[in-house]
Amino acid sequence: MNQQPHLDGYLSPDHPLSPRGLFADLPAVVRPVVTPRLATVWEQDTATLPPALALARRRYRSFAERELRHRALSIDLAPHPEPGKILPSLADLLKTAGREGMLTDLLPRPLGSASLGSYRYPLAWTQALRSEELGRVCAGQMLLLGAHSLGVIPIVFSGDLGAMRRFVLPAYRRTMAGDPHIFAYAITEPSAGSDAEEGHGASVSRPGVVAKQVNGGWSLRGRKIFISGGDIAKSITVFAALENEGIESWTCFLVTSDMPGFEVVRNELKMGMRASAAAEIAFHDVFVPDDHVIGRPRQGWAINRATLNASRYAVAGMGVGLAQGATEAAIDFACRTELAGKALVNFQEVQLQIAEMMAETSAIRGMLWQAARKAYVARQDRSSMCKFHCTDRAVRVIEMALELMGNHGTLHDSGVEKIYRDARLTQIFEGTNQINRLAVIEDQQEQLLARVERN
Amino acid sequence: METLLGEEDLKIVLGEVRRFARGVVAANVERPEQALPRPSLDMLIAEATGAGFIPEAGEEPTGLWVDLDDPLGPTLSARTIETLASVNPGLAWTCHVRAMPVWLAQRLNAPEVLEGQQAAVTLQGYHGLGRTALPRYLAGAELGREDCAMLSDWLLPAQQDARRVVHAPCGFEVLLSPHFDGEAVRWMRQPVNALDPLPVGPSLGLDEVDAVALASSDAGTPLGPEDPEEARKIFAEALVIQSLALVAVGLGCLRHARDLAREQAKTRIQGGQSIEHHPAVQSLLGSADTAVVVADALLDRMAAGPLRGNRIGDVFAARASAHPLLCRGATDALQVFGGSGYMQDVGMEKALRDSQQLRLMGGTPGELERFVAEWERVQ
Repeated sequence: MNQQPHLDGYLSPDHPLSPRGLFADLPAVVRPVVTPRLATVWEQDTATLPPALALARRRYRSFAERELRHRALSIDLAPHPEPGKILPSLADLLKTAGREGMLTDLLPRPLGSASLGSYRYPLAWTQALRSEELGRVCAGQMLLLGAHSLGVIPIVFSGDLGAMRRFVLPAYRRTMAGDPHIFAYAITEPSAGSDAEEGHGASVSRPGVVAKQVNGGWSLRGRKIFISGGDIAKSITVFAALENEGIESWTCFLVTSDMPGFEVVRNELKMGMRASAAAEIAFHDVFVPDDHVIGRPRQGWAINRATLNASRYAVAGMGVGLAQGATEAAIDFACRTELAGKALVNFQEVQLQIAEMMAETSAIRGMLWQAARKAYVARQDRSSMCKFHCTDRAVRVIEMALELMGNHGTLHDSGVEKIYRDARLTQIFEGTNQINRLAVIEDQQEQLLARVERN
Repeated sequence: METLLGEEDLKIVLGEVRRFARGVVAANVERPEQALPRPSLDMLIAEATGAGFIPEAGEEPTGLWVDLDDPLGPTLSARTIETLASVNPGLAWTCHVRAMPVWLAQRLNAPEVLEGQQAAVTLQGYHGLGRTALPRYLAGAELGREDCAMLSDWLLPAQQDARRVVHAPCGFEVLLSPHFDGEAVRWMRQPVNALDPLPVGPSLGLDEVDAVALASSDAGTPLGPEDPEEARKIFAEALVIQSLALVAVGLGCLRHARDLAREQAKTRIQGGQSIEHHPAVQSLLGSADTAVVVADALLDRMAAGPLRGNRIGDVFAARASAHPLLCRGATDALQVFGGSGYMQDVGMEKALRDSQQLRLMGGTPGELERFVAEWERVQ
C-alpha cells in the first residue's frame, strides 16, 4: 500500500490511511485549518515572530553558519593564547562581526546596528534570539561576542548619556568600521562568586576590589576572576566597593586596558567555551578619572542586578541553542548511521529519543520566548526562571543526544561532546542555577509573605 | 567449589592497592588540569604489574580478573579498580584494559595468543548493544534471520566507512575481537594494522586513554571456541567483567569528586559562612553522597559470587541504574565549586567528563535497559 518512501513502522504520505491525503479530501473550508504546511520546526517557530525579529533570526543563523561553523571544533582544540593575545582566526571573527553589526546591536541605528524595527520589541528578546542561533553552532564563539554586550549593558542601564557618548558611541563606530573595541564585565572576585550575584550574601560579603578616592578620580586595587573576554577587552565595566564600605557602596567604573596598573594575570584553562577566555585581572592602584564612573557612586549594585536580570535571558537562549545543536547532531547521526542495513532513525527507540529532544528543546524555547516577548521590563523572577530551567533542561537534552550516539558521541568530531562541555558552564555563570532559583523567590517575597500573614 | 579468598585476604590486598594508589599514583597526578603523561602512565602500569595488580601473559597470572571462580574474586578485582580510579580513572581503566586479554586468553585456553605482542579486547559493537538480538543470543533463545543479521552487522559492520571505536592506550598491536558467525560469537585475533587504525583525537573523558577507530575487517586468526554454548558463556562473562570495570571506575571517580566537594564546602565562605551550611549546597552534597552509597551497593550486587555469564541481566540492570546516578553525583559535586569547578586545575570537570564517558561506553543506560527487557522476556 505504501508507495512513497517511509520510515519503518510508519505509513507513507500517499497511504490511504495517512492523514496527509485524507485531509486533502476534506471540504475546502476546513482544509486550511487541519492541513499544516510542510515546514521544519525552525521555520514554523520563525514564522511566529514579528517580521523584524524573524529577519533578525534568519540573519543570526546565516552569520553563525557562515562565520562560526567552520572554526567551532578547531578553536575548541587550540591552546589558549597568552593573556592579551587573540588567535588570528578569532581576531578575524571579531572584525567581521563588528562590520556586520553583531557587536553593536544593543543600540538602534545610527548609534548602533539594531534595526529600528527590532527595537520596537524588548531587547532581551532580540538578544535571546541571537544567543540561541549563535550558541547552536558554537557557544564558545557566541560567548566571545556576547560577553562584549554584557560589558556594555551597565553603561546603558546607568542612564548616563554622557558615558554613552564618551565610551560606547566611539567604540561602536570603530567596531562597525572593522576595528573591534571589545568590552567586558567584571563582578566576580576570588572571595565573592555567588555573593556578587545575590543580595543576602552580598550583605555580609567583604569586597576584594576597593576604590579609594584620590585627587581627580579613584584608585582601584584588587583582583577579579573568571572575566569572560577580560583578556582582550579594551574597556571593562568594573564593580568596586568604596574604601572601608561593603558591597552596598559598589560603584561601576569604566577601566581601559591601557590604564597604568591594569594587568591581565592569566587565562583559565576551562572545560569548554574555549573560544572565549575567562581571565583573571588585577588592579594595582589603577587611577580611574571621575568621568569614568558609570552612573553615580554607590549605584553599582543596582546597575549590576539590572544587568544580570537582562542578560540572563541571553544565557537561557544559549541553552536553547545548545540543545538545538545537540538535537540536530543526533538526528544527523541517526540518519547517516546504519545497523543491519537500516538507518538508525528507523528504530523506534531512536525515534523516541529524537522526539523527546525536540519536545524538550521546543518547550524551553517556548518558555523563553514567552517571557522575553514581554520583557520591556527585565523582571528578575522571569529571567532567572528562564536561565536555570532552560540551561538545566538543555544539558538533559544534550545528555540524550550523547546517549543516542553512544560511544561515538564521546569523540570530539561528533561535536556533541563539545556541546556538553560548553553547556555545563551555562548552569554556573551569571549566578549558579541554585542562586537563580533563590532569585525567583527574592522577587516573589511580597506575595509569599502576604500568604504567610493570611495563614 | 574451593574458596581460596577470605574477607581478610580481601582487606589485605585492597590495603596494598590503596597504599599503591595513594603513595605512588597520587604523586604522579598532582596536576588535574593535565592528563597523566604517557611515560608516567607506562611507568605506573609497569609498577602495578610488578606489584601483582595486573596479570601478565605467559605466567601463572595474579591480579585483576584472575580468581573469578572464587566467590570473592569479582569483588576483589572490582574494588581494586575502584581504588585506583579514586586517584586516576584513566589509569584504572588502563589496568582493566591490560588485564582483559589475559583473562580472555586463559578463558579460551589459548595463552599463546598474547605472546610477544600488546593486545586489547573490544566488546563494543558498531553502535549500541545489538538491540534485542544480543539478549536473545545470550539467553539461548532461538535466533531469527533479523537477529543474526543484527549480531553480524553489530560486530562486523557492513556499512561503508563504518568504524568501531576502541578506548585503550595506543600502542596495542593485536585486537581480540568478537565476531558472530551465524551460530555463535567467536573470537578473532586481529593485527591492528589490518584494521586501518585511525586516531580520532580527544574524547569527552578518560584523557589518559586513546580513542581509535577501526575499520571493519574479518582478517585475522580464529580463536574459537568451537562449542557454541561455551562461546555464549564466554561472551556474556566478558560483558559482565566490562560492566564491573565501568561501574568500579565511575564509583572511584565519584568518591574522589565527592571528597573534593566536601572539602570545598567546608572551607569556602559565601553568605558569611562556610557554604556547607547552605541548604542549596547540602542538596548538592547529598546528591553526591547518595550516588556513592547507592552505586557502592550496586557494585556489591554486581560483583557478588563467582563470575557467571547468566547474571548478565542483573548486572546490566545495576549498571543502567548506576551510571546516571554517578553522573548526577559528579555534576552536583562540581556545582558546589561554582565557577572554579569549571576550571581544569580544580579537577572537578575531569571527574565529570570521566563519569559521562563511562556512561556512554559499553552500552548506554537506555540500551542496557532495553537489553534487560528482552533478557527477562526470553528467560
